Amino acid sequence: MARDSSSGAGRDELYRTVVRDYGRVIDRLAAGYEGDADRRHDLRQEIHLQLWKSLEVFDGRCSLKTWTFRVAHNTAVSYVNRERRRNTGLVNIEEIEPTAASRNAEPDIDRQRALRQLSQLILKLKPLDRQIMLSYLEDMDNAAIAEITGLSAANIAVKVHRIKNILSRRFLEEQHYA
Amino acid sequence: MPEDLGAVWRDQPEEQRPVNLEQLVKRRTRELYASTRSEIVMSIVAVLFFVAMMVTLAAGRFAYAPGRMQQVGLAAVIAWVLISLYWFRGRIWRKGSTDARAATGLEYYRQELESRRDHLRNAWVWHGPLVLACLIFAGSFLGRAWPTGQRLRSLLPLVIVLAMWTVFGLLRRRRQANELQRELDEIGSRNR
Repeated sequence: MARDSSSGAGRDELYRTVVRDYGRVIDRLAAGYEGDADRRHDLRQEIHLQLWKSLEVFDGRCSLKTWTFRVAHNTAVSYVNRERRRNTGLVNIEEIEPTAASRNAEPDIDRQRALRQLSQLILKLKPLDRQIMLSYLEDMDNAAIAEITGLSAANIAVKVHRIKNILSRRFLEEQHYA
Repeated sequence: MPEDLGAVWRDQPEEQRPVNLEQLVKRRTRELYASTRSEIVMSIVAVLFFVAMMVTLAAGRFAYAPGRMQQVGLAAVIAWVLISLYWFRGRIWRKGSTDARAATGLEYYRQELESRRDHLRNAWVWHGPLVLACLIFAGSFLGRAWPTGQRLRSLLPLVIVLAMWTVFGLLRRRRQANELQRELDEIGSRNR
């Protein structure tokens, strides 16, 4: 988008940086909030628009990565809330175990299947827990996740520990049965 | 089963469709324009429906003869509708000024946001005839059905409901207008 002022040009430059550095992360984040391809495309567009608008007030008090994640997550959370009718029955991380266990798994567990199951698991989570799970999968440390979510690092540590347990139990069980 | 689920997540296939911000802005602009136009048109159609009903009843077997007050009220409603049509002609029939056509997608979106915000802030202008027509329509027939002394009392619940509906509608639109103003601020007044 052509802008004619210095602040507009600065924002466009920042936006291009965000797209270059975190475009793929944003796509994966959107995948963690919407399973349907067409709707996901709308969500990605919405995230990009909100990001572009938000960069007007980006003041560097946090890193561009943290800023990007915050805006992207918040936009996605608003999306989930708007689509409340389709997003019924979301659960906390603490509640996921009994609902997610799958003991009749096919023996052909590969990366694609793992990704599908992981996506299904993520899409069942309530937004805040989803934020933590997605950030964890993006290899962020607890401090970075805390900065994005606004929760305390101690709280994040507990949640991440829980996530690790759920993931290892769920996927190792399937590996065992495979 | 791959051991590192984080790697599985990060290696997922790329999205096929690229994000096009310009396209999104254009779509939003069209949606804003369409909702503004449909609100005005629906409101005017509803008013004309009430007026047509009263005219039909007056001419039909009900032998309903509107009193002077109703006639004046109806004339005011029709005049208000005509003024609304003239006032909002640009929002009903897109003019497409040279400036607007030459504007960038974002600038055009900003103009449409401003137009929508003003439309919502001036809701009473285009929504007023409908409220007035409702009052005249109900007042005429309730007035006929009840003796003169009871007219005001029998009209009161309807007036209260209408007033609540109008106030609620105005507040809702004011809130929407504020949200649009926030979006306008986010887009960046410094760039205007």
